[in-house]
Amino acid sequence: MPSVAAFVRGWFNEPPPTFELRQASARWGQARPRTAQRTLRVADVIEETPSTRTFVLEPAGDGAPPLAYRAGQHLTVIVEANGARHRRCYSFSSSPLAGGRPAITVKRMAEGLVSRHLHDQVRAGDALVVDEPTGSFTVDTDPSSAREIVLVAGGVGITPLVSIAETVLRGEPGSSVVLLCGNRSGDEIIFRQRLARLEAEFPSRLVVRHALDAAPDGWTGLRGALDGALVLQALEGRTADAYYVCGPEPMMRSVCTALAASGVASERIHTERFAYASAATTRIPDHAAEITFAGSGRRVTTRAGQTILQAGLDAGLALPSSCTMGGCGACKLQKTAGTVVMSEPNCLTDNEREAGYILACCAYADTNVVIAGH
Amino acid sequence: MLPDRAMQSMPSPARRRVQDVFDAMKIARRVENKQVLVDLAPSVMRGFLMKEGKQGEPVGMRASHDAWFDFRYQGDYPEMYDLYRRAVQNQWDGDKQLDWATDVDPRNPEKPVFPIELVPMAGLAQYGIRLDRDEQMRFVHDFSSWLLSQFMHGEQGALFASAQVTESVRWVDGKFYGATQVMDEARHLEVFLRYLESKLGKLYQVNDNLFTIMDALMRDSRWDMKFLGMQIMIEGLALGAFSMMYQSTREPLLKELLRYVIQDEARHVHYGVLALKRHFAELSDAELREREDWTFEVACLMRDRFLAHEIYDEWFGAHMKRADWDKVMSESPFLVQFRQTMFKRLVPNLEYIGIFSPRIRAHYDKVGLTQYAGGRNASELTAEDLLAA
Repeated sequence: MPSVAAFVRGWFNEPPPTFELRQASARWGQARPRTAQRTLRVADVIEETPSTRTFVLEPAGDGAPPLAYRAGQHLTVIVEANGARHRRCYSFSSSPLAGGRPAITVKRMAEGLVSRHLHDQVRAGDALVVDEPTGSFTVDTDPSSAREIVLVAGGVGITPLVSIAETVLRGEPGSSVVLLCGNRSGDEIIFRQRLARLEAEFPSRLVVRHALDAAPDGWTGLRGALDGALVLQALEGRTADAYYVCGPEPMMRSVCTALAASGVASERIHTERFAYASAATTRIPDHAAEITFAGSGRRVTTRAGQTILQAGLDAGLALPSSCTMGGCGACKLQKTAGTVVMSEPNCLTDNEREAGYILACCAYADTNVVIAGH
Repeated sequence: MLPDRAMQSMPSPARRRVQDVFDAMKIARRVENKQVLVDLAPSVMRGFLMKEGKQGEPVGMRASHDAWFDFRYQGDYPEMYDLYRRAVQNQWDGDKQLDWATDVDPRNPEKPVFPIELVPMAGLAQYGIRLDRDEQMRFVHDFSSWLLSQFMHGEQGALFASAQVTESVRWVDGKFYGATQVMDEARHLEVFLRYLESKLGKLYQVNDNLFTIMDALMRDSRWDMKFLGMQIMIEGLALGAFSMMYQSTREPLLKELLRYVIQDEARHVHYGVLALKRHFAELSDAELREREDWTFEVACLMRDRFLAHEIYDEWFGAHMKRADWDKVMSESPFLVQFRQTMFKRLVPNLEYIGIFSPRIRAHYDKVGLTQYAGGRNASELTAEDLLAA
């Protein structure tokens, strides 16, 4: 009975310390960064539009190797603020075949902690900590290839696509590119002059068409929101070997649906969603939005910072839920329209995400949203 | 308790033992349900008197539950199977997904592991104890190590309890899910241990209260008591505690670690709620009453666990009476908030699974644990309540 003996001893002897000093066990191995990180220097900051800036980057320090990247990839920028480390992915807008320095293009978001930091604080000469480039929304060039590529960009979604366009044009002399760009208004068109220069340089191989939601009188481009119907109209029956789509979620869904309906095989359609890099980086919308529950027809307005679950419960809807932290899936709803931002990580499966499911407990409406059922 | 003068005249080892005996007697006096007393008494003896968790040796806890096989493999609980699939798809790797290269200085006031308000300065000052700035940061370092050590010990309990539950639960879909929780708990144990070893450099012994709870539910032969103890009480309270820690820490690695752990814990609590809601609906009044009483005792043990007697022994055992320390800790604003955050998720869950009758509510009222009862239940709390940084 060793514990009885210990009990008796305990009346007479001082107990051992309540703690033990420890060193890291060998089992943990050498701590390594989650991905290789490095520091770059901002060589230049270019204002593309009132809300969009391009940050031209170069290796920091003499002898540092150049940053290798592929067209369409993104760079994760790491910023420390408010006691937490924030990571955001920004696509390269430069082309690795253009001979210049790498550059990312960033739209300033009203509540975007990192994008505001980059716009408001970072100047030429400053250092940026980044992860090595990643991303599979890329294109490999083959000089002997002769193919047709269609690129569909919504807003700042042009960023990886302009990189892909220029890379294909420079790397594949036999290939041609159609680039369709959608924006709300003319002053929001990013890379307007650069695209015009590329058109002039590759007149027979590049077609750029701009669409404006609110086109002014005299506008000769496409009119209306760049959705699936407008894309098919602009292509005028022209088919391509590959389609690359990047932009707001509703636009992407509309375009992909229309392309699929017109007979384009899914493996020829490539998409890029601007996702957040880690849990701590979720940008919660700072504005109200309307949620329509299609089953009952009820319309509920979410306040800034309010989840869809909370808004629904406040309005008296019997929405299912349990853990309220994105861990159990009990509050799963199917979204048929609109855009939401969700805290990550959460327990949605890839198939559910593809099918438009959201977790109401950690989903914030970024636009007006329609929910199936309920 | 013996008069102060008699206590102070004893050698310190004997004084500690007398306090332990009184702690055990206090628990025995509080328990009204004789069956609950029978259930808990051996564990109280091993935890508070024999100090089996503090002997520096592996501790055996004899299990007595049945492992249930089901060779029919019917689809018997779709919600649990759904939870299993989610758990499978959301497994994470603490080695790869956490940035262990982060430089953590537990005494850095700019990036404190936990805020300096953790130090009960005002309470200690009442007893003539004042800590300078360096001592305060050292205290924060030690208390952070103690707190995370206790959660790490709890994760070891959860690892074994979830393995037992996987054996003893009768739904096949529950067994599927249970296996994922075993892996979750191993990962939690791994990341807390790694954080303590490689970043804080200090491990504390298991607290007597926590040892007692784990011992009781590991030895109990009834599967639903294991569920109740581990999934609802320990996991549920840990979920609240982790959310408070997540909100208060300014240390990026710990913040990220807690974020991942919280996701898993939320799933674990949901599993317990699913299982017990269905099972408790079939129990007799006497059986439910016993579970209410047992849960209440475990809640009290969990509350008292945060009196942190291991820290008292290390820091103030020679300078103030333990009863005074208990008062300081009970009234410390940070720890009051900590306990409130922990318990505000528990009561709604107990109400939901049907073991929070008016009778037992009066007991919770008496010890001040119901201030959140009747408030928003689990389905009404939002993620930002728990995770807003």
